[in-house]
Amino acid sequence: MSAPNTDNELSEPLRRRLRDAVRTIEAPPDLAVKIRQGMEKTSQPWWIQPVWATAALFVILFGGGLQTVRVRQDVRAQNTQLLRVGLADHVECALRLFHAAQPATPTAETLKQLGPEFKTLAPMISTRLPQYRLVDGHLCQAKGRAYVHLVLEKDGHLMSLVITRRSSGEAFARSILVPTARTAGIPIEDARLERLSVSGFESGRFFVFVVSDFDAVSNTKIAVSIAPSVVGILG
Amino acid sequence: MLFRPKARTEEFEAVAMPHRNDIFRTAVSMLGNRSEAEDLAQEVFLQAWKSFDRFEAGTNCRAWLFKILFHRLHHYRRKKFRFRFTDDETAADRLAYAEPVAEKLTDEEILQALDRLRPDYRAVVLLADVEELAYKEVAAALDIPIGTVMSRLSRARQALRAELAEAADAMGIRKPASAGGEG
Repeated sequence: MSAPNTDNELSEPLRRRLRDAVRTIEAPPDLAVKIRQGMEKTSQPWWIQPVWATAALFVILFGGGLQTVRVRQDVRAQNTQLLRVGLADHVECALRLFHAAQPATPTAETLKQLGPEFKTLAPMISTRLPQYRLVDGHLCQAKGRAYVHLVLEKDGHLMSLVITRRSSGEAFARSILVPTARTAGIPIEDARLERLSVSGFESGRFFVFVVSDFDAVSNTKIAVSIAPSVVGILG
Repeated sequence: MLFRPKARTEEFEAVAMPHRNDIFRTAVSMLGNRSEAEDLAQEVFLQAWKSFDRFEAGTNCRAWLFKILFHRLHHYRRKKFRFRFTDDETAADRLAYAEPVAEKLTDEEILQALDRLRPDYRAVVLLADVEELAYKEVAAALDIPIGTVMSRLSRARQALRAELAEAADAMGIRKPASAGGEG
């Protein structure tokens, strides 16, 4: 229940303007990451908290515990690399197109080469995002990982859909990507890196990233609008 | 707290984390500094996380977070709080004013008017009018009686209208005064 009306109530237009003005203040995108890092620290068991770390190190070294720590760090590093490779791909491929005189719409034959799962993906994206124009679709490889990269353009802005197959046990690292929305039961997770907005979601077999230079909210909206169909197609 | 069950973490993610924007913007509005507000918002959520076992499922998590926020703000009060008092008598004297033309004021002008309110006034306006908490929740967040919330809110709204009217005057966009003003 909100505050009841009284004679001293602000008029509704005034109250609305006040609300709108204050609500223009947005938390920095990495606030959630910092909060989670703080939570992780306080949730750490005593034997990996700094006070005990030195003393416990000897035990851990000979008890095989170090291996566990290494595995956790490796998973996190892989996630960071995955995200950065996705970004690098976006920057290198998409921006190169941006500087091309007149990027052409990829042919059906080109899109077919992306693989059977992606045959219907490009037309679906065009349907879901009618204001965007598909300017490229290609397969690329970076650091041993294969990506399907669709590049779309709208009003001089480029937006990439970067898709890569998940390995067994791979999942988004919560310390990098932050859940911000959910659509049809699919969590959309966001990051802001190198002045680009990244929204990621997972299908059963793929990681999907929407990468653009739009603000975080607009980028998330794009991901929300396509995620159910993308997951439906890719499985 | 050594280990936290995964389900509890997920519950915190679901009920508390979505309010980080609300907490942050209120912190910014109270402190007037994004960097300090970010630190404070982190402290609030960390405190909430540490105390989450005491949070009753089904109760208003947002109001609980605001309570923690204002509790933490008390620690800032002496060192960092900006006590920029408006002149109460002057504000109270401006009874016959016209409603400021809110739609013609920019967000920045409105935020500046809010910023000129004394902190205790700003707090009730933010919680009741911006975040739309119930009086009872505002009272709990600020740790004051509900009667104080109502009287303070009344004075705060009056002061805010006066500040906005002044801004509108400065812009030359204020409506002509009518008898009794807005109310």
